[in-house]
Amino acid sequence: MSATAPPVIEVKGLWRFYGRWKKVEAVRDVSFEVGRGEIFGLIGPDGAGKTSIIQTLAGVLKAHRGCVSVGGIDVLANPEAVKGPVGYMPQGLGVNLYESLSVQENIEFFRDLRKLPEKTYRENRAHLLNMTRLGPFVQRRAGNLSGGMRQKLALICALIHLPDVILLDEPTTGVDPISRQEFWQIIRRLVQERKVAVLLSTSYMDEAERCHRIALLHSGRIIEQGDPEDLRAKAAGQFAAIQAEPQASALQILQARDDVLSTEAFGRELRIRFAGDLQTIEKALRDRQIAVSNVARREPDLEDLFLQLLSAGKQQKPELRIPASHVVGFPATVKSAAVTKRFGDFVAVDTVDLSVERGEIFGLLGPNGAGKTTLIKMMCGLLGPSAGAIQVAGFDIQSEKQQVRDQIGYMSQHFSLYRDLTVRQNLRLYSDLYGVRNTNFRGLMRSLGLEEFESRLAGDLPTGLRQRLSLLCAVLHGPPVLFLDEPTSGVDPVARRTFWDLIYSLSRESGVTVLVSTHYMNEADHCDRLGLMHQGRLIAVDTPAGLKQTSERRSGRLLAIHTPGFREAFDAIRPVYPGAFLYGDRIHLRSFDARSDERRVLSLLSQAGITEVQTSEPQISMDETFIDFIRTAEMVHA
Amino acid sequence: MLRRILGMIRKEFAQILRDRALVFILIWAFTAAIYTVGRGHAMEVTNVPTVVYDLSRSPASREFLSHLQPPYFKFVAYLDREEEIATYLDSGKASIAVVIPPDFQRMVSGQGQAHVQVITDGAVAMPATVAVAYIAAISSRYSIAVLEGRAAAAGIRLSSLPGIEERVRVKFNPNMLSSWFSSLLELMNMLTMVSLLLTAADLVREKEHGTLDQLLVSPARPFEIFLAKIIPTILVVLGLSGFSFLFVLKPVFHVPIRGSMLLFYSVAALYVFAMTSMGIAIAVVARNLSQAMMIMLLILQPMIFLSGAWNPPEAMSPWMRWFSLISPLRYFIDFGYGVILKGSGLSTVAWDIAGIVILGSALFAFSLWWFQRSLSR
Repeated sequence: MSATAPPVIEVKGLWRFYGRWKKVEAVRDVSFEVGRGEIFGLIGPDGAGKTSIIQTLAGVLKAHRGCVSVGGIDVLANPEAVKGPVGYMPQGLGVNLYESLSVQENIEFFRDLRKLPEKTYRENRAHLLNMTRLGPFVQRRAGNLSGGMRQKLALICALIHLPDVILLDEPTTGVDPISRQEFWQIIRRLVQERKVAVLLSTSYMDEAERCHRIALLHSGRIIEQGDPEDLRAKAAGQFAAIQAEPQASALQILQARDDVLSTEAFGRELRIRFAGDLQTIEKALRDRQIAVSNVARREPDLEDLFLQLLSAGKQQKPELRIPASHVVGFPATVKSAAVTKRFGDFVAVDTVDLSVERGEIFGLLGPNGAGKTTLIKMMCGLLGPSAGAIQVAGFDIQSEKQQVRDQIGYMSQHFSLYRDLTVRQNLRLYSDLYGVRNTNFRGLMRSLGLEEFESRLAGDLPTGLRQRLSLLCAVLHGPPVLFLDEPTSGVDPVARRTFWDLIYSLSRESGVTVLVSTHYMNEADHCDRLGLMHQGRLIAVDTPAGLKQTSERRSGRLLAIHTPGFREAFDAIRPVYPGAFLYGDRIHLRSFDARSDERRVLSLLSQAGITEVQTSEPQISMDETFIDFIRTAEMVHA
Repeated sequence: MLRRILGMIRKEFAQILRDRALVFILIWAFTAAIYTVGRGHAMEVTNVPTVVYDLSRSPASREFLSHLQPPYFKFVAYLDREEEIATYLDSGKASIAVVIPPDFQRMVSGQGQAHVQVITDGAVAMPATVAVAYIAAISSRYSIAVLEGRAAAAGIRLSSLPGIEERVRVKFNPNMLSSWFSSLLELMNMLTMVSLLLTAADLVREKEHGTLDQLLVSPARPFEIFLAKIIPTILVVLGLSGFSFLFVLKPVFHVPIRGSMLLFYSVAALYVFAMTSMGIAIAVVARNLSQAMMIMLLILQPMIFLSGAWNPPEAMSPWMRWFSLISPLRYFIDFGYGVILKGSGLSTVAWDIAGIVILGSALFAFSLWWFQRSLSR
């Protein structure tokens, strides 16, 4: 689509430095183009350079080298000129809003900033309010809106002049899945109706599929760009998922094989990338008395590609072993009974019943503000529950606080070690706090790949290593129960996988019970069981596969329609299937009877003159599963 | 328990020492800042920029003006036109204008009262007032000299007439060196400010970074964390004040240390202990560093004002004087002056010590209770 018309956004050889003597290269030689009616995604972890690029395009940040043109304006030469025609939404949940002003007043403020003529303003406002369905809330104060609604208001404010170029910096991070879906629908509509050019950034790999084209960013450099589907096809080797017991020995056997290129434990699954024959691998497992229950090939996703591009070959994986003697002898379980936490009128956690078994990896999945952190803090004894009881490792969290503290390790949200202490000083402090004796620091640091950073300040470590150090400090005393609050937020995929490997070995080899929270939907598969949290309530608990099956039973399997003329096709299908939605350049709909729906769709499309159509039945994503459960829960609640 | 506390204290020291800027500011506060105040905040006024509009231009006017001498006065200009006075005062180039009328010589030599007009810039109230007082003294001395001359001419010896002459002897600070007071006062102010600031900032930072939560889930109890937070500050602040005595107060200002340093330090430790406790209480309320700073300003200002550092409690209005009883700094300043400058012993400053102990234990108990309460929401 961008092949014929000239691109709206053109970036060539962009460089941006930071720090003293321009030592840090935030953006390195980045080039890309975005055409009219295109959604271009910058995908990458924190610190990859996404924000720097978007801010440069918005005329907020100076670049040091390169060419940037937005809508024919040379941004580097004339950064002020670009601020008029462009709509820019900065990172963070509604940071461009004024909390104490109402929705209406916020919108008016942006009208005044832009000096919009009254007529244009009225039309645009009506259009945007209708699209975001914020109409009924115009008198409400921005501070009292939910996260998703704030984000939509922020969007209205950024787009009140209905610009042709839209720059969105991580618009969906931490937003609940329903709002996220709605957000994407709004963007879709703008693109469909007004042929705007959208550049957005995200750290969610699964959102890449919703873009027309993407660029994978790492350390300021674009490591690959193109159509998401084409990119996925670039992942080398074959991919499969294996279920086998005992899992830990199966993993060892697989790791030792030359035809297995990489292995990963995902909850009860083992995912491998291999070259050669899958049956040979399966047979090798069975020959070693491993009970293989399921072997299935799987499609590689973008994260697989990302991992492949970043990690060269098989690497020595970091290990973390804690003395098992600490762990045995305690009922290492976590139980909560009707736990509620209120802050004034606000119910942060609403009657949560939860039971986590020994050695299990239990995931709490939910958007920001769902109550995950509050629940974990109550389980650690940092917050007292307003009602209900919690037992950790057999001790009551209220009356036996001190005993509980010896039994748990806790890693709080973000990086919360002392940044101004060295790696070694941090370890020393934690061993003093927990009274750990004869600790072999050096050995531990070596096994985690931290040895060479021993005298480095913790704050100067790369995010992945910081995460590992935090984990090490949290388990130094060998706690049987481990609480991890969003441990992987913003960490790059490679470091994230490594981190999950460590969690896995803690759980499987040392028998540690792990309770972990995350807002990354695609991390859910790492957990044995999942609890879905929404607005303080625990709306479902099951294995990841079990949740997906329930969702499919309830709302049907996923049917994907691929066609070059997807815009027209979507318009043709929508009247009959109101639940259909665009996903990248595919159309997704839920179906209980794939055969007949497929026939019906094909006939609808051929009536509309669209014949080049393919269909497939991909597995339902955790995102959609979650949305399904939220809808059901809201129906029950109402 | 001891290991945990020691571990945390070691951590605090590592953090303080690592923060180069903080170390620099701390050393600055206890040396250069005290030096500047001791030197600069002197009560004597010198080098007041002065302009003269002399209409008389006579030997008498020249003689009068010759008494306005450096280092107190600095002549900026001799003016020829009256309008220039306003220009000089407005622009701030001069703070004082002395106008001598045309009949000055005639009046002085016996026609009647001679007048000199003094115009001052009230915006710089302090130096202006002092300078005016100087001029008043100068003119009265000049009048007496004129009178003496006339009396001598008439054959009368002025000193044979009845009159009062004051003979002043200043105790403890015979040369009336204001630098003794101001440097010692600044040291005690710094002790107060740094104890508050260091503790509050440190705890707020732990709250902001989430490291406090990490400490709390460990077996360390709130009481231990409390102690581990205030002990390093107490040691640092006392150490620095010793530094200040050794390198600024003694060698530069020659402040005499007449009383027992042991007594001074024991009570100073108590006082700093109370201040650090208050720092914790501030950090409990504040959500971030800037809030903590605001709260501290709110507390510090009245505390210093009520302490009698700027004006003695005796000069305050009666209800303010009662209020000043709750400023711990009041007792500490009284105590510090007593022990250092007067060499007072335990019995003389017992009431001050009692004040510090009572207020200090109240602050400590309150802060500890509040800190613990904030952790079990």
